[in-house]
Amino acid sequence: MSDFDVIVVGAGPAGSAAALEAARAGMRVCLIERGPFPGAKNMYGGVVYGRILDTLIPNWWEEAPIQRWITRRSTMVLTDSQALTIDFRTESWGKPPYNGATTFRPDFDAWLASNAEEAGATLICSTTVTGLLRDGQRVTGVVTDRPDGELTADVVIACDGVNSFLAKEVGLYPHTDPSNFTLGVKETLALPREVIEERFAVRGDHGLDIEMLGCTGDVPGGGFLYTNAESVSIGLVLSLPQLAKGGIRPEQRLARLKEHPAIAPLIEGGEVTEYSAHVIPEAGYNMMPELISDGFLVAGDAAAMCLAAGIWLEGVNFAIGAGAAAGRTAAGAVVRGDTTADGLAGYRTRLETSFVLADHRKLRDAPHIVMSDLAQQKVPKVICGMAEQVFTVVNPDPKPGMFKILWSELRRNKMGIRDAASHGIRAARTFR
Amino acid sequence: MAETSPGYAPNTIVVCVKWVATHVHIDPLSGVVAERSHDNQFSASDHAAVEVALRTARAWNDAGSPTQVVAVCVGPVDSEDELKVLIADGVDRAIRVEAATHYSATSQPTSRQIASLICAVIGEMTSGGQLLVVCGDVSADRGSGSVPAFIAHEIGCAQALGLVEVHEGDPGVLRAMRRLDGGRREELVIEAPAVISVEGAVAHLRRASLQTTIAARSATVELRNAREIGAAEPAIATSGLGDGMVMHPWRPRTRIVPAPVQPDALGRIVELTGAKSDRVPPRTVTLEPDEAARAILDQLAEWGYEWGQDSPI
Amino acid sequence: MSATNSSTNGPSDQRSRTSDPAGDMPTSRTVEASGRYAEMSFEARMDTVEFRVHERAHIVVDGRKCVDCSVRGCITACPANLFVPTADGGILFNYEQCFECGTCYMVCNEEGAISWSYPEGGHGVVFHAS
Ligand SMILES: Cc1cc2nc3c(=O)[nH]c(=O)nc-3n(C[C@H](O)[C@H](O)[C@H](O)COP(=O)(O)OP(=O)(O)OC[C@H]3O[C@@H](n4cnc5c(N)ncnc54)[C@H](O)[C@@H]3O)c2cc1C
Ligand code: SF4
Ligand code: SF4
Repeated sequence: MSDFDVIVVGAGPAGSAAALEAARAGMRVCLIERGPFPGAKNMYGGVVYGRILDTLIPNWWEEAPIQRWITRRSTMVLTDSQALTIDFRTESWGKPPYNGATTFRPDFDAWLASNAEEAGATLICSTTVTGLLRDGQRVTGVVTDRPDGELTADVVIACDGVNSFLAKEVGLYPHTDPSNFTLGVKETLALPREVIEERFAVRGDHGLDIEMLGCTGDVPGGGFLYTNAESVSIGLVLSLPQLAKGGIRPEQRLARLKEHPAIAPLIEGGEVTEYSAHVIPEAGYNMMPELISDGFLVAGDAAAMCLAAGIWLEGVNFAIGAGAAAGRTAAGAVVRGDTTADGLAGYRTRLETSFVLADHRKLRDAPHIVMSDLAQQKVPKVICGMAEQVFTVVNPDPKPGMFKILWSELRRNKMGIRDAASHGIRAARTFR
Repeated sequence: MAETSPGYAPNTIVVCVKWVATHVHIDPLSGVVAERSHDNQFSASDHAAVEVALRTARAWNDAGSPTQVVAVCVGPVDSEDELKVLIADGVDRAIRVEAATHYSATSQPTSRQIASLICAVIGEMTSGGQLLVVCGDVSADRGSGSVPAFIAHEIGCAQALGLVEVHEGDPGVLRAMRRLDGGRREELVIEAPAVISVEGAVAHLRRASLQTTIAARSATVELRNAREIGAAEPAIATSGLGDGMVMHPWRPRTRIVPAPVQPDALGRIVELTGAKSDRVPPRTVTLEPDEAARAILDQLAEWGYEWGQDSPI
Repeated sequence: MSATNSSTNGPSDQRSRTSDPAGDMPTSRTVEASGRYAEMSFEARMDTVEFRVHERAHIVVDGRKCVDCSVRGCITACPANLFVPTADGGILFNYEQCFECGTCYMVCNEEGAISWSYPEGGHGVVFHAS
């Protein structure tokens, strides 16, 4: 008999959700994490969207370690000297069941893992899984870096995050193409509570989430600024190949964003309490590996399930959704006694009928569109340029017409009308 | 407790481990001290102490004198996960003492209070066998390292602190090396009962096997309540501050120096540095502690250090 | 098991070097005329991060391969600035303050120049406020 029914590798959101659901289904579950505690190795922008938690942990908002509830969401388009912001706020996101919340991953991941433990999973920290045990094609367990470190199971669920060495070992992942990945760098800046309330026009435990485009210079990517209880998180997401070629280091690009006239006043005086970095799988559906093999499932960032498409930067909710589905599927397969790839095939069906793959399929072109040269370099300039023309009072000359303004901005930014139209149509089709 | 655990040995090695904040943030403007989450650990020297205890126990066991290792931590519930790690490493029992005040960035029970709680726990374990208490010498928060001395005092046994080398000998005996001034070393033969403290470099804590790590996850950390084990409940030692007083970062007092009067720059510098002025030769006085403190303050005042209203005396 | 090293002293001499080919990026300056705070130095930045350093390197760079590399993307892209070019055209690498992000092996264009793995469980970077 195997040591455990199910082994889950990685106690990030995907892993803890998988362990939670498998343990609830009565499985003997071992959840293995390489950090000294769950979340120690994990950083992200800062907002968790909680809807997926409703089904897993009723009234999760009463116990989750939340910094602020997002009630205000802005999208900012920047050029070197301009900024156009679309700002939305709703009080309904500030009360149960809430929408999004800022939280620190060391806190959130540890909390989610503790839920898996309460459900009966055995959490082992400070233990790196270095490889898989295999019987022919079939995965039968894991090898860890501890003495006598082998452990067997009927199903291994790989939730080991973006580098996904386990999926690569099984051969589910082809060669990694750096253009499918971005580097996220971030600073957590301490600011007093009152200052945050004043600068971001929020009260109590409400907060703001800003996504930015056009702030990464010649490297495709984006930026974010989120409010925590007594700090803000500011960061950049930068496409790897161009970052490597560009000659300007990530923290220097971040410094430039921090000096932008629209951003500097918001973060002034903030003391850096932590600098952090992590890689994001950016290409979504088009880069996803096979998800199932004999005795083996992949979930979360390990299977590129992070939705990083322009104004969306969501990965935690997708990871939880996928992990939970993997946990349930594994439990069902163990009970039926068929943990081959066929026995586990229900995983993909589960994902396809849920938002996890449905959203990814719908937005499969989004990463490409958002990271394109047009969207990155020209659109922000055109949009900001138009706004500037529209709002600049030119009397005694008569106000120019909208079409004329658009035309002049397109021309100034060397963007053909046909380009703009085809891009617009593609975007409209993707985001419809 | 030993009598209630049949088969358990008469010899007991107690390891004291302190749950410390390894990274404390002090706001440079307000002086407010804040801890980060997940930032507490046992120090490297405490880990070394555990390893020394485990090796010693094995040597004594091998020599036919059964020995148990008990880890004791006066600390909050957060420390239990790490205490379980020590169980995985081979510690036989782990005991956590819950007190109203634990070490943290903002509150500090005194070493004596901690020592008396640990002695209360040791008290329940003495069963006629040998007793050895092993501590780390200095914790990551730069504690005074005085807990072991207080324990030795309370038990009334020998102490050897700040050891740089420990070799286990016959049951009840250790050979150790201690640093002395001037780069000298001293070799000691330590006979139980004794309290020792070791430096972090004495030993690296072993890495537990996967199986023992898994087993330890369901092990229990025994709990004692400070009030119930009869020792004095630690009160917060607020470094002499009363209610409503604010802690602020230490800054050196301003020393008021009269403006130099020499006409040329060099002269002014010479005057400021006092290089050519007559120097009072150092003197040695023998005084009672409070007179000595007063003498020091008087001297500082004479040298021009301002004490203002919050003079410490 | 190694001694715990909380966010301290990596080799700091190399950090004062700030590569800035564009020439206009802020480096460590004093407080600007506008009264804004200056960007912190790179050492100070890395000192905000906790690293429980293991005695064995989890990433090893084969500097001989780097001699043939024209792109040298690692130098720019590594968020911890751990790749330092040496006078003889090689690369000096220090593993201690590594985020374990994976950027370097993904951008590296010389097969086999970087051997990359995670540090032993419980060691390496530990985030607290991210
Ligand atoms: C800069 C940035 C900003 C982001 N912003 C957001 C955001 O605002 N909102 C959002 O929802 N998402 C965001 N994301 C995405 C999100 O962080 C990820 O999609 C999500 O964390 C994926 O969860 P996961 O459980 O799949 O992987 P991870 O969170 O990466 O967890 C993997 C876990 O596995 C462990 N592990 C890895 N290998 C091993 C091994 N061999 N043995 C043992 N353990 C191992 C790791 O230590 C880790 O704990 C952001 C990501 C980045 C980098
Ligand atoms: S990119 Fe690779 S081969 Fe080139 S210098 Fe860096 S490590 Fe060496
Ligand atoms: S893993 Fe990341 S932080 Fe570490 S050396 Fe590579 S690029 Fe730098």
